[in-house]
Amino acid sequence: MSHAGTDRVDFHQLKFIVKTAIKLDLRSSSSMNTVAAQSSKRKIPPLVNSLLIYLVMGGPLALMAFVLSDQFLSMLFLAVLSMAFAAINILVEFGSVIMSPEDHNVIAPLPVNSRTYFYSKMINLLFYTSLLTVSIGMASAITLAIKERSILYLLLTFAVLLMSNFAVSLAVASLYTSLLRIVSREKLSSVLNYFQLGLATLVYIGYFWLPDLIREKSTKITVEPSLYFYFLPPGWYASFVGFLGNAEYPYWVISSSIGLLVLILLYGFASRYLSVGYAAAISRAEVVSRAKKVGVERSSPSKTHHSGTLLGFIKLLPEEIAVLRLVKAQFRYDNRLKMSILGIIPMLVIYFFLSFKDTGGFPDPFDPESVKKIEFASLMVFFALGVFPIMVQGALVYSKSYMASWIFFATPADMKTLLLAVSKFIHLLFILPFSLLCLIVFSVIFKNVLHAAGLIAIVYPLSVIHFRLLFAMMPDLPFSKPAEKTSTMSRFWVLGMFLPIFTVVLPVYFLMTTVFGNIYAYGITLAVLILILAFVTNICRKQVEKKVARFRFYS
Amino acid sequence: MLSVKGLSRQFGKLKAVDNLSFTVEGGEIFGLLGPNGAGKTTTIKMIIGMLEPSDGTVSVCGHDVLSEPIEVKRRIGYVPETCSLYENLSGREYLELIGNLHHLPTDRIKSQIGRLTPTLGLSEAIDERIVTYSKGMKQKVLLSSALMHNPDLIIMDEPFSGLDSNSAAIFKQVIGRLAESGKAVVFSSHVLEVVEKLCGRLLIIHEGQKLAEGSVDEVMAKAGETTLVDSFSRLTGITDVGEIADDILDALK
Repeated sequence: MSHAGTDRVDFHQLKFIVKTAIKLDLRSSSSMNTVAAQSSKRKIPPLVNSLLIYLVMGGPLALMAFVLSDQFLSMLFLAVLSMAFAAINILVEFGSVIMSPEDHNVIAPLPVNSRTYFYSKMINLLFYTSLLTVSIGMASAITLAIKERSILYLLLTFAVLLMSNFAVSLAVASLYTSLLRIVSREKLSSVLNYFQLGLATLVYIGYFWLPDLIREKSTKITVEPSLYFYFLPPGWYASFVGFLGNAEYPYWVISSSIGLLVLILLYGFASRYLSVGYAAAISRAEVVSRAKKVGVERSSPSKTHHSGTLLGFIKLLPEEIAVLRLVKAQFRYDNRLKMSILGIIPMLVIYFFLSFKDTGGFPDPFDPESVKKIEFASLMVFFALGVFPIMVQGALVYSKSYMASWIFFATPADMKTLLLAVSKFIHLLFILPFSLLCLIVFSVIFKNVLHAAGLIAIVYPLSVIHFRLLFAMMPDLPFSKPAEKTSTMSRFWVLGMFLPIFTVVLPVYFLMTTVFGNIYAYGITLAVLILILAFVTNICRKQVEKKVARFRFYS
Repeated sequence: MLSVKGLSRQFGKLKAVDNLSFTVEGGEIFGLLGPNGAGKTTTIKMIIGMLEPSDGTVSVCGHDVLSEPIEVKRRIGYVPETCSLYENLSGREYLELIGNLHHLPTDRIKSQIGRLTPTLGLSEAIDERIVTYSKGMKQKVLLSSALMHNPDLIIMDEPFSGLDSNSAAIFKQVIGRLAESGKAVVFSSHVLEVVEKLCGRLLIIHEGQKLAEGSVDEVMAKAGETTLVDSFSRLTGITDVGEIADDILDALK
């Protein structure tokens, strides 16, 4: 089938496809059956929720825009953020916007040409990423306009945000689609997964590294930003501030011209390859890779054998075995789940790196001299213990296969065990191994296994308490809720970015600076933590028991 | 109306469709039969331009599916096997979308929805979201969307799946009338009684290859059986259905 578009864009079709796509996303249902689907009409759409969150998150950025004396640097920060947010959102949430095999089933039998399909996909993608980046930059744009007493700053800030966002969106779309040229269709699906993972890692590294670099350089040259900044990709768009006379001539002219040229080139590149044919290729690649995997399973039944234990010695209940098998199978076939879980690994590495890069190591909390040097940045590694269990829980609940969760209601399975199984596996397969990894790393750093064990003995119960309290508030059956755009990132920002600071990081910081120096205080703290853990575990069970009634019927 | 020549499709090492050729004329109801995994849906997807053939050609009303895919799609109405619908749209919104993608004038879309939905018993639910529909109702929406642009060739993949007997009877009547009005209808089904009643000609495929083609009588003659059910079993290699049933029941003991 050759759809490669020589045809012109059909604007009539384009209007209806885009309208439908936006309507569908605003209506994303929150449940699987009819009654709930109807009632979900009254709910605030997840997209609106996310926009509100991003709007609030823009507050600190506005403060930064107010404080920074150089407008080019302010714009540069905003452009960095716009690019990082657009890229992260596309990779985490909107992968399906670029490569949707589902669309292929509905659109492909209809007389819609490739160019029309491409435009509808791009408009849909840019609509979302623009809303998100404009939300996060809104407060900064208003601040700059007030600070400079010119409405032009408001307009320019939005222009910079949108151009940075378009450049990243088109670049990611182009990268995805150009992969088709070098990878066979059969391998495409799995290659895309790992490509996405690699790209996400790069974006995260850039997100953490670039503001750091700017901060480092800008303290040295507050009045005159480095020439180097103009030629970083975010600098291409930030330099548009030169139009208002706030950048170094002639650099801003060259830099902004490069930005425009790159946008045009990326547009041309993406429009060449994003097509109905591309969606078809993805669709076929998924079918083939699934068929191959099934084939492999059939030929080696021993691989699917399950002993009824976890890690070889923890005996599991039948419901837990069922959930574990389901999670394993979904992990193999569900790209969203696989990417959500695998995506955590590079982030863990980044958090580890961030913890040690500025401090040159980690202070031994049992050494009074060393502990005086503790820096808050070092505790980022524990932040990961607070963030990621919640992310994993989200990945295990929100799924494209949510319709199949009727099975939990049609079997005599114990609902409480099913619900708690999710918590159990996250605890045993994520928090525990990560704590053990920390134990090994700190043993090496401290050159003292006992000190490392002493630190982890405090951190581990704190992270379990944090996770169980959150879990008790919102237990859910595995793969029982529809995966919606923006749900993962909202969950990350709300539950991930803020809460662990108060429930894990600050308590560890406080305890390291107060009780670790005194063995009795340490012992009492540890005992209290164990008691709190037992209490919270009990509360968690009771809360889940109470909420089981909510899961009595399929709704 | 429809001409398929040497059509093949390979997925890796698996040959899903292997050198199929057949034609369907206007006014004809053509049945595509085969056991699960025989290659029926793959064949249909290649005919409607959803799947690229590894080899062979498909032409609809003289338009080649590879070189003129849009022209082919304008002439086809397709009812898929699985209910692929945007379920968060209402039935009306979905039909409006499809009508607009076929460039039907707004007045015509409205009148088509107004005329099709009551006859299919969808009037009350037409403004509800599709996610709330039963499988039968979804099939009716798909049928409406396949017919609203008045296509020359209607292709239905398991159209009776999930339909109650009243709806199935309506569907059968619709298929018959469409053929009477000169349209070509291709449908695949596992319900052999329906195929026997409706189809002027049929094609049985197995493992992607053509086993038999012709009228019901011709196919039965080729298989040396007196019913279509027995002919189908014999041609597709199932000789003792009772023995298989016994094996299943034994496994449950």
